[in-house]
Amino acid sequence: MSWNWRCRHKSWNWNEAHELEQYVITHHMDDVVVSDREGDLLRIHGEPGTGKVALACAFIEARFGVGKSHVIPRVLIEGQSDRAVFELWSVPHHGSAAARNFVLNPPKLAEFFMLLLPMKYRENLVGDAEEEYWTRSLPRFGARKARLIFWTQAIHAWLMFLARPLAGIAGLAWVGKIVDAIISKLLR
Amino acid sequence: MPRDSLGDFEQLVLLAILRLKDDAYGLRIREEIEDRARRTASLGTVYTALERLERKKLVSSWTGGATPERGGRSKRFFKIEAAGMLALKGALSATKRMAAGVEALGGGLR
Repeated sequence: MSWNWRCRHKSWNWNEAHELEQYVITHHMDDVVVSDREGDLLRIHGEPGTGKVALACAFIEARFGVGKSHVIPRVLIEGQSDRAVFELWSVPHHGSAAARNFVLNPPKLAEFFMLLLPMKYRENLVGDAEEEYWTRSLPRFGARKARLIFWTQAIHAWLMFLARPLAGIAGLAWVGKIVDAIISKLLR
Repeated sequence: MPRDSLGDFEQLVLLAILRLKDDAYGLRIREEIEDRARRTASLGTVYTALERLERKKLVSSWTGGATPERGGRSKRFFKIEAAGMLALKGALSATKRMAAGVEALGGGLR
């Protein structure tokens, strides 16, 4: 099965079978772009100006925008200037509405809130939340829902911390249960 | 409830640590609980329980390696201590004794 995408005003044709079987992209563009797989990380590298940003854009749009079942947990772009990577995120997308305005990284503000938690192992908790984001939520649900899950984890962690001293306030327990239910529904 | 008795979620966390052996860290513990006990728990819930268990000296922890997908942050692995094992055995056998012979449970739990 093949799909076509437009990204950065260019078009590519993608062969799903090729990707799933080998997970190695050896062509798809006229200029040289090579990628390979290391665990769950899809690495795209090449010389500046070889179009790897555009290729990564097609990848991401295919997975997170169009919503097909590609398994690309994480994309790392090497050898590009910051400006080029910035161009990738700001590139106009032509897929579904979900393809627009997406951000690939986990929400930094939620991460910051988690790091403020007065818990002994908050760093490890944030690490776990990030691991879940990259390896579970993002490949399975796409960027938007993955970010929402990340936020619910941050909120719930704070509620868990606050629940102890404020255990007498019945309302707080209910808020915790509602957030639990949201997480459960999101992960389904 | 006696001070050192285990809550039901703490029992699940201890059982998950036992099941996971050397791979018992927050995310995996949570997944194990969700998969086996079919109980939803956030990471915050799991870490709160783990820190409480560690304060009670029922589990101990150590820092593992950092990986890129964790944003360079390390994992914290947990293992059950002898006191934890004892507390878990006590809690499980109490449940078993209470359930034994209860007709509504189909003749008790095995």
